[in-house]
Amino acid sequence: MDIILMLVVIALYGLSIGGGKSGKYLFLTAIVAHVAYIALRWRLLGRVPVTERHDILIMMALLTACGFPYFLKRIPLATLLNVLPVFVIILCFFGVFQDRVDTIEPNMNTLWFPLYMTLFIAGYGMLTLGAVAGIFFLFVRNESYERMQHRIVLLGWVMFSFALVAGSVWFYRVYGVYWLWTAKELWTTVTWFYFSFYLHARLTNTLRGRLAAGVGVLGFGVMLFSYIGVTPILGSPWTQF
Amino acid sequence: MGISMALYVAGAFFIPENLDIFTEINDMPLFTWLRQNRGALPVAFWIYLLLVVMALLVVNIVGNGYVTLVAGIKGRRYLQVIPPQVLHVGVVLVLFGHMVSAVSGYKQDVPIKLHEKRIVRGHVLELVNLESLKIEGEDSTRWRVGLVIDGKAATLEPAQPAFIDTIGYFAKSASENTRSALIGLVSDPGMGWEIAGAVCFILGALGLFVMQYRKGVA
Repeated sequence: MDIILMLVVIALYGLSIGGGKSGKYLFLTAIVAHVAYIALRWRLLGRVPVTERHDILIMMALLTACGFPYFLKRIPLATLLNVLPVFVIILCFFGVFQDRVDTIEPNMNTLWFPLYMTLFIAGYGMLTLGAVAGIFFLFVRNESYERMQHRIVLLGWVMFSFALVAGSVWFYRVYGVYWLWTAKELWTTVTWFYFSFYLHARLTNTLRGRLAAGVGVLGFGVMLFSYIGVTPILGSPWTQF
Repeated sequence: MGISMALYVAGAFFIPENLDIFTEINDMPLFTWLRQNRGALPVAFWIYLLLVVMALLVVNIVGNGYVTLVAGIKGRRYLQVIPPQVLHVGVVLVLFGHMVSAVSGYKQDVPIKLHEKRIVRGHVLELVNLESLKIEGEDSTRWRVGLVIDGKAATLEPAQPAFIDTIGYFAKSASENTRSALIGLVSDPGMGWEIAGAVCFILGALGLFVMQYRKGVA
């Protein structure tokens, strides 16, 4: 039943695309409904909903949507509503199609796991916002948008790095290893290296302008594939988060 | 970085396609696995290349880091040069710690019955208690294992190991029906380096972030 609320949220985000002033209110209404959905899940699960892929993607989408006021101060509303809702919908869409488990494994019932996942969601959410800023630059060519992208990706990368540290600690406490040689872990490392490369090249001026923005935007694809594409496509062991 | 990414991607394709070969890679230190699987070179070549590339990356980090640091200190640009180098030191320490553990660590799983004493690598293990608990919201039964290790009592649960004299003891599974538990022993001599590396990494990343924001990310 609650999934209907999520579908309404997606519809509201969809209706806000390119919608000018009414689009702004539709988008804000979608955020309120999005928060309500997460609150419902929280109540249903009895814990912060960060323990399964469905909720994690929905949380990432909310964090991306919450970039709206930040962008609104810097970007014209019409441009903003042509790009931001699309990224939010992509994340919600993939989230809706993930199986809901509603339970956790005993080894996830520790403080380290929600810490790891919260940092992970924050990191991936910020990296998504970085891709949004990159798209703005590619279309509008305002240099400040590219600098904004770099700034947001840097914050996302720091969060993602901290998530990897927290995740390694949690994983070590469970299995006695920091990571496993599986396709999933290897792709997560690729994602980290990819954004490290982007930031390093941007910092040393090897990457600038359209190329830098393009590499940053492409990172969203790498990130999505690493998170939801590797297991079904490459056959990595299934995890619920 | 590009080459290492390509090698990781190669690994992500080779591992699922050759699970029969890679099945034990996570159960033992990397160099032990490489020694035991010399014949797997056609599907494990990327690991050897990765080791070479990571070693070159470390040399590059150390070399460039030194040059940058010296130039930065001469130019009194401390805040600009120190955080990235602290971050780099963190990465090098984590890699070094991994290498130390991969070379001289060990992992061993030991099945042990209730009230049985076993001597494993010179350590005396006795399983003194075994409980199954059902916690609301958890998808399976949680076990709680009472273990006496070299005379010291420890309680192990999922994600709650015990660390005694640099050895980690993990309850991998337990069953009240069979009155036995599977205890994992992990010797990770590189752990200190890895923790130091993680701390440097976090401090460096925070410093880099603050520094970049203060100068407005040119």
